[in-house]
Amino acid sequence: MPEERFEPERNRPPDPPRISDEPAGRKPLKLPNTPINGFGAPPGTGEESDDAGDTPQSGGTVAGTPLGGGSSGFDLLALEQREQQTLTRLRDLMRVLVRALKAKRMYPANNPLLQRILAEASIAMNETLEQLGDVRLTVSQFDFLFLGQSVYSNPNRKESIAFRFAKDGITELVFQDGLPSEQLEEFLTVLGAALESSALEDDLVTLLWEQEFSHISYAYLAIDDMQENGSSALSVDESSDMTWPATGDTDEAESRDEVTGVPWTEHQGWIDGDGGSGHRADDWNELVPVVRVEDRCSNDFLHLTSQEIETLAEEIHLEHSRSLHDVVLEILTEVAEDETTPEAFADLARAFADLLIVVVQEADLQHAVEIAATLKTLSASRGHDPMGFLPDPRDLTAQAISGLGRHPEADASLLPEFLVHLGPRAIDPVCDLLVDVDLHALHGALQLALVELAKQDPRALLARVHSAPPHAARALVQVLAQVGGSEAEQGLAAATSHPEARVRKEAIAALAQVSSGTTRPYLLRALDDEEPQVRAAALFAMRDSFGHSEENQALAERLLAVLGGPRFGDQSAVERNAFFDALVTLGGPTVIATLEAWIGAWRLGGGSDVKARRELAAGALARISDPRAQAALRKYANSLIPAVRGASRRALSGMNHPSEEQAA
Amino acid sequence: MSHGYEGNTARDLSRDMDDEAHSSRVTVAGRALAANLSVFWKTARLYDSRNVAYGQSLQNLLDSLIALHSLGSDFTLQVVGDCLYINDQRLRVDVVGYASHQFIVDELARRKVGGLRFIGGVERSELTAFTRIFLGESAQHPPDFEQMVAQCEAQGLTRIQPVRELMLPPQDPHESETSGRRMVAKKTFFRAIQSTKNVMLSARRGKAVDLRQAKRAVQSIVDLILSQELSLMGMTTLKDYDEYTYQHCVNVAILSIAVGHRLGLTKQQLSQLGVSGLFHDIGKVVIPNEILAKPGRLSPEEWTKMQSHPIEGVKIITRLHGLSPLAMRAIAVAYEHHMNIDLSGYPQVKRPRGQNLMSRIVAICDCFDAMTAHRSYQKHPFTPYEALHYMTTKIPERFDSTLLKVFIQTVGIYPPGTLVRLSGGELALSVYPNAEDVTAPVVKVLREASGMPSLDGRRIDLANQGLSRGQMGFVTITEAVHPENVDIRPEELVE
Repeated sequence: MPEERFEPERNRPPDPPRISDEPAGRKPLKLPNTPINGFGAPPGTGEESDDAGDTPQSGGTVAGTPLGGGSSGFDLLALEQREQQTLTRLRDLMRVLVRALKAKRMYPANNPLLQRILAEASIAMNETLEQLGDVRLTVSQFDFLFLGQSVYSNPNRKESIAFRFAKDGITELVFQDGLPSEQLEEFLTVLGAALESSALEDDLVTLLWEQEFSHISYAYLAIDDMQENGSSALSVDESSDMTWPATGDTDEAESRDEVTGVPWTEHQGWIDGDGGSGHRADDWNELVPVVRVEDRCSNDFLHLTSQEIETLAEEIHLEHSRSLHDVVLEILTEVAEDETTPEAFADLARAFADLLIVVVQEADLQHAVEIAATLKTLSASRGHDPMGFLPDPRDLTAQAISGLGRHPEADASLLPEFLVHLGPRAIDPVCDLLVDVDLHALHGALQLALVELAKQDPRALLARVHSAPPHAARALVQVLAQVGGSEAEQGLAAATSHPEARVRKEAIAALAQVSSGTTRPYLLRALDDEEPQVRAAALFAMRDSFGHSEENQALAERLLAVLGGPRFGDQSAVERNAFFDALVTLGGPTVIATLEAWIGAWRLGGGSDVKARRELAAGALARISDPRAQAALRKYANSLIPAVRGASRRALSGMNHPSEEQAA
Repeated sequence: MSHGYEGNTARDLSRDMDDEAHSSRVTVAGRALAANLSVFWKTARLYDSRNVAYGQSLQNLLDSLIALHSLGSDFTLQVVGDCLYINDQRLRVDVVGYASHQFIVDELARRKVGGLRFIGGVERSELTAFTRIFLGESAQHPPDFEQMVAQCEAQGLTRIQPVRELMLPPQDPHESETSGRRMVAKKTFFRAIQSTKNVMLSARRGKAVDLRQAKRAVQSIVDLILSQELSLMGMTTLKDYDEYTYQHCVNVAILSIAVGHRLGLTKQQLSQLGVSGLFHDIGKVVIPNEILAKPGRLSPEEWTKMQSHPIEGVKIITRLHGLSPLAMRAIAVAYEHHMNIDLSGYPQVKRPRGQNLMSRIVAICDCFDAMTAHRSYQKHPFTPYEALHYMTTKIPERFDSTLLKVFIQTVGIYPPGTLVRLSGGELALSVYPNAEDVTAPVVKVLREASGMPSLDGRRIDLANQGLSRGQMGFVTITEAVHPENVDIRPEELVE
């Protein structure tokens, strides 16, 4: 069975002049190769010599090293030992390579451990090649063979490197002395990609061919040789299955146009725009035969002007760098717009979806937005669910993020817009991403997307607030605050009961912005929260939203309840001051009465809380600009209880001569 | 232009109708024999003689032997070079039979056997026994001629005999290398056609398309073009009626890759360009044959249908596995290759935009190859020289003028397949172009100045004659010759 082989090119004639300076592909001619497990070899390769049978089995050889004959009995032992050493060395090398391959598949490119493993693999490879020369391995189903002996074996079809080679018909692999480390790394990359993909298109031969390795060559079977029996028989039968245009035995009369009667070779000219004009050159219909060309082509015509060369070079350069996303999008759109059959439209819609996946993987979010929008519009215009043909939003979201990770140069500003196109079903995956602290840089964009998505379906977001970890829950609360509306407010209200204080605090702050009557009870309740930061936030929110007297009354009562309750003991001085400050601002009979009561409250051996409350109440009363408050203070200034009297007098005195501290 | 002798050639004289009919029947039966023999050998290697597949392939072989015997008495299937002969009649290789043809040539050569002689009345048991001897015990070590003869004698096989290998005069090493490269080119060409056919048949049946084969075929083409193996371009002259669509696709791929190489595209880009060229017309699998093959004028409805093939092509390619960069490129080319640079073609785009570079390349190659192909509606196609002339003078507005120049620089002013008159009066065939001089291809002399057929069929590299221009003996082309004037079909001369 004929094989093909890539070998470094020799005696290559010079290239013709080329327009572009981009590196041209330089790859050798494929030549027939030694049969290894085939049926026959082409003649003239010179490798079917009579002494071929002396070479050990069909295993690999070390180039230039006569491993076979040439040694006498005396040397046999030494030779055998040397062979064993060689095999051991190669087995070790294969182990190192396998380890490097695993690491390559596991770690990102900049991982130090990976770098170290790759360096070790390169060193091991080069040491082996230096010692043995080129290493030629024969590929069998699950093994790499050298001298007919296995130096690598793995019967697991998914993981076996040998199997992956054998599957695509590669029969031999040669590492050549001087293999650069970059090439070895590229080789491992290709191999890793091939192991991860089972798609028909990802032929390992093609992947290797594209890399143009100078120091790694391989021999392989043609695909039709791999399936030869079936396909050979098939090719005979199948040729009759599809009848392509044949000439038929037409007589000379058919050489004349049935309409004009003009002989075809004599027929000249064509009718512009007349698609059915008769004579044609296949699908280039207007191209009718002309009278024979007697005049010579002018060589002048062939001369490329410098401007033409420049333009062409620019286009070629562009061809190197551009993607075809926009072109394919336009083509698919044009085809889909005119498509009338539902089945064909569905196929095209799937192509849109495929394209969407491609652009998302490449972090081309601008086209991703365009594709999603176009697909939705086209689907809707045909009465389909606009989201029906979009791929799973969870996958798309994940791919968009990983695409941005792979392409740090990409513009992430369009991420929110893209995610919004995916609809409310994207809420869950986006929420999941908010959990990932490694994506902190993208959290802003994700939150922006969630704001718009949650406007479409707030409930999907509400469900996530309580289950999310604190930092994500806070972000979700911020999103809800921007979403607005009654459902969002309910969500925020619910968040005031979140187990995590920082979330409750965020919810309080958000509710303050909403400033709705229905949310006020939650703020009031938060004044009694166990966490000072939450209570402070609630107070801050309340202070900024004082309103009607009824509301003030309720707030005052709540403040007094907190200050008069056990929570007072937990409060810091700052918080207590803040609470009392609020009471001063609110004022009113209830406040004055309660404060007055706190000043007068006394019991033997009273605790520090009573004392502190008295002092603060006195200070607050002194600042309330109500005669009743001052009257109360003056009353207690003459109290028989020294502590009460002292507190009142100090308050009165501060009122007349405010200290620096009070002023502050 | 003198047509004196050409109208009355030896070929004309020998054109006896009976002989021609007989010769044609031998060719058909010979090709069937080659196909059945190769299938049988492959089957015999895999299956026991009691297997149904074995029995069926053996019967097919027997039938084709009987058919050949009915055309004469005994005959020999002979290998000369890389050609197969039935007695002294060459079995011209065609697209369908190429694989089996080459297989037999290879297998016989491996065993140093020049051919097989079949005596009338051969039986199944003899075929089975001989095949066992021929295949030998191991694929790696098949028996050679002497061993085979000895074993045949031992088993009393008389009606099938191996024939000794012909001892040809030693070849000039350079010629040997050249012919080896030509053989690789030929193999690549036919393999590409087979791959295209497989893909198109799968596409037509709505089956999953395996692109690996096509991609590998294109890679081989790219490798050959990169190594300056321009004889591959000569293969594009071969025009097979029955396999037109597939062959046209391969021709377009080859020409496109050659142009792309001249432009300096990278290897990967050349590969994409080649695959795109291969499938630029894949949409035609849904166009009814009655339209594709209709002789003469198409009705407006038929023309509309024909114009849908770029769109159908897009639909087919999108049904492949995902949208790889390759598939995207193929979509663009399939859709745009008839748009024309001035957007006057089809399909009419709603949002005007230019053709992509690769689409423009493929458009030129497509047009050129279509114009030069024999079709039911184009019995007298343009010669390559005329096609170039037409494209550059009559319809230049359709193509990118710069790329058209590059195309001509690539295929030469006298592209492969063009008949030319040399300055010495000889009639020659342009075989492949010279990269360094578009006016001086490599030519093969067909007739001497006297009008007599050339006996040596020598090749002349007009760009590398070892003489300076104007020096005595320096050969140039004086004119392009129309095949009809000399009664020659260049496509039949491809080696």
